[in-house]
Amino acid sequence: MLFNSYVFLAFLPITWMVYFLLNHFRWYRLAQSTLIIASFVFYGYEDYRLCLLLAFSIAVNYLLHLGLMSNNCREVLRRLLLVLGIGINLGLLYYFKYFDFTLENLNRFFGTNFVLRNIALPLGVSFYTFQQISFVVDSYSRKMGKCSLLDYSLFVSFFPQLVAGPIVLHKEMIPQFQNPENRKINYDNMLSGAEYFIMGFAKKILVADTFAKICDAGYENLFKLNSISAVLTVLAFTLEIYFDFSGYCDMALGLGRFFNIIIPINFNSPYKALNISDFWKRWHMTLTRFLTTYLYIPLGGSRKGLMRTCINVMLVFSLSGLWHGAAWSFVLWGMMHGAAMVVYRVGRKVFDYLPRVLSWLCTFLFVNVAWVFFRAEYFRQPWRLLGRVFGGGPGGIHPDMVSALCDNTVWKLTLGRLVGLSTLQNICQVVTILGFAFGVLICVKLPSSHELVNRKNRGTGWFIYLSVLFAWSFTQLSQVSKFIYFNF
Amino acid sequence: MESNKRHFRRFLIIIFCGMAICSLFVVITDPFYQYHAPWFGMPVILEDAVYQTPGAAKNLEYTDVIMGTSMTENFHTNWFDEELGWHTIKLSYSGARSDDLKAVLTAIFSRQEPVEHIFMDINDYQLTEISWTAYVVRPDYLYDNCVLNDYKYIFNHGVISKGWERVLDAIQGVQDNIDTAYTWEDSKLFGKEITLSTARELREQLLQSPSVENSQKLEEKLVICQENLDNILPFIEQNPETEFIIFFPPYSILYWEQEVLKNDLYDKLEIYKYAMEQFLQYDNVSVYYFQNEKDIITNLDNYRDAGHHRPEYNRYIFEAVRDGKKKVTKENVEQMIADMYEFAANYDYDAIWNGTGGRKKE
Repeated sequence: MLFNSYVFLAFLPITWMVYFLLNHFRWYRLAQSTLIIASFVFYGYEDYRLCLLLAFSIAVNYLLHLGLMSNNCREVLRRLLLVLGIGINLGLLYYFKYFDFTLENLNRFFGTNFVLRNIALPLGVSFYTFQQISFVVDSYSRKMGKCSLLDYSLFVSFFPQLVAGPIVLHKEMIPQFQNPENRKINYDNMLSGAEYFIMGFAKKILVADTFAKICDAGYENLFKLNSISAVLTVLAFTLEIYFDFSGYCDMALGLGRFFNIIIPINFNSPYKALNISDFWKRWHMTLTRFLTTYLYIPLGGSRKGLMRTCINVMLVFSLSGLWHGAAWSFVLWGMMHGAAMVVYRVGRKVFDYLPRVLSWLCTFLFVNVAWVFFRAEYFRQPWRLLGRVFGGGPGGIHPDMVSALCDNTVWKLTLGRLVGLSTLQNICQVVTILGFAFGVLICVKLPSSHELVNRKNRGTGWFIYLSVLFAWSFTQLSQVSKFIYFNF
Repeated sequence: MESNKRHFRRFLIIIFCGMAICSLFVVITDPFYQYHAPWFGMPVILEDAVYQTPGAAKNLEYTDVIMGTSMTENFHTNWFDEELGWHTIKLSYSGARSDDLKAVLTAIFSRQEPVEHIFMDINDYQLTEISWTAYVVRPDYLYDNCVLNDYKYIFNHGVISKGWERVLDAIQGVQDNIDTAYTWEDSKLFGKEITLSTARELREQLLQSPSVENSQKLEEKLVICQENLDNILPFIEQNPETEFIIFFPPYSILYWEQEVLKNDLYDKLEIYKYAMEQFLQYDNVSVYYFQNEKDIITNLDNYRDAGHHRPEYNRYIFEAVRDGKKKVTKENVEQMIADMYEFAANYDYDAIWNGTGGRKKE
């Protein structure tokens, strides 16, 4: 089930009402069980088999947790359980995400003829695998007390963060599930939850999906792009991926708050970063936290000299790339960021003395170029697109990209009645540029959703604005499709 | 906390009001005529058949209907209104399958008002295909009478845009387009070159594997044909007061060549015969057959592809029907199909492609 779907918008209030009604009658366990069941319904809505996988994963990890927390368990056995736990979690992730990738590479590099299994990647498995690894590792190091099966199941399956993160830790979630105060409706949270949810909803539907259409139009016309269209194609993906993912995370934060659960912030205006290290403290923060805690530091972090630090950084970022998807393009993207982190670490003194505008520009440009490799569908594609940036020649924005932004809009319909076609086309070109400028402005200059929600005085104007955003986004869920048969 | 409770309530009220305004706009402008015929001087603009047909069928004023596929889109309702005294609406549905026809007929007969005439074509695939994939998913929420799924219509950005267009139309005094709705007579090019170019690829494929499409037996094809007819015949039976005028349009000779290459000519004509016989069982049906219009179909300048002819021939069909020509009866159907088989089986198709024009083989 997607957050941005009708069925979810029906599922949410029903779940919410049942949850708080049961809590109202002090049937706490039942309320928690209901939330778990609802999360499973949410997860298995498209394919019930996903629930079986999730249940299996929860059961295995909880048993490991019991073993690891047992006082009678010997150290050797605990270590074995730890290895087993990490192995099972990574094994599942490997099977679903990387098995075909491995076969593909064996076939490519060693001329073997393994038949690909075409294994479908279960939704959210990358996220909850990491959450469970952290749980098992922390159980091993006894950084936590015993937790109940209900608490644990909810920690893993809690629907706001199940499918696309943030990657939450048990220590920040389970105490919240146990806090009796959180079992009552809290209007502070309801209000901020609604604000987060609507901002995320609008970010995803109005902004990300629009830039996605522009970006797709650019890629479809890759060989015909002039320089400006190529630049905007690059920028479109930069904006698409940010608004998509941060929109999703805002929705998750908002949904969490409806249930009085504070989910950690995952994005903090990353495109405002002045250097690449700063970027990673702002982009997908819970992933950075996980990789730092459970990979970078155990590898030695920065404690073993510059050389080793650089190797660790490269390793962590390459694996981070691979975590994003089973393709070499993701690994390359990770390595680019790793390399940038290494360069920054070595030349920090120089970078930190650059004027702010220049350091921001360098960081933003680098992030943009790296996204081109992230988006790559085949090996040469990023080079082709970057080639068009420099060698595409002059001209206006590609009409398909302009259409992706302007077509079927009320303003274009209205203007179309008033001005001639050529004037309209010119206006659309300008509007497209303004659309991009606005997208970048939101990322770079305007306050983040967290700053907006945390303001003390939010007047009626702000709520009217959010309501318009919600209504506008909601009406995008249903569209009138073009009838294409007429191409006979 | 208390102030946030107030804020939250106010917020919900504002959202509710916003949604209410939005839905009110759609209900008033109602661009797909789901709830009413246009208000406040907004014109009837029919331009998106898949979405507008059910609403137009239920809520616009008419007593007679033109419906069917793209082959009916170039008929003008004025011809029927002025020369036959009808009050016609065009509910053509480009690419309509038999179950699409069923959906349109259901909408038409869901009204209280009587329908006097239904003028429709029957196409090849409406008889021969059962699981043909439509080019666009039919928005069923517009076709059923369930209000519970109307949120997809009321809160729909595309519908709001269309509603806004109708408001602009009203301001600018735009007139109804019922007469010319869905016509493509001005937007498409016709001619032999174009027609040949659209058919060339399929011909080459068929020449390489001629009998690939003819693995079914005639009996099996007739079962499919009957399943398709079952989408239409009940409406004819249940509405004896309505006269159904059903015609089989004149496809170009290239269509018949394809049937020959598929080794399917005999079966296809048997299917047409079967369908016509089924229709002719009813007193309130008249059937017209134009597939055997040899002068029209052999001149490829009359076409834009193997099936679609120039708009002049829509007028021709109209006049023939008006004058009662080309009518099929229980008595002549057998001979007509036999003649068509004779003609199509013996036509010198190679001559078309050699550029020497169509000639019969000696």
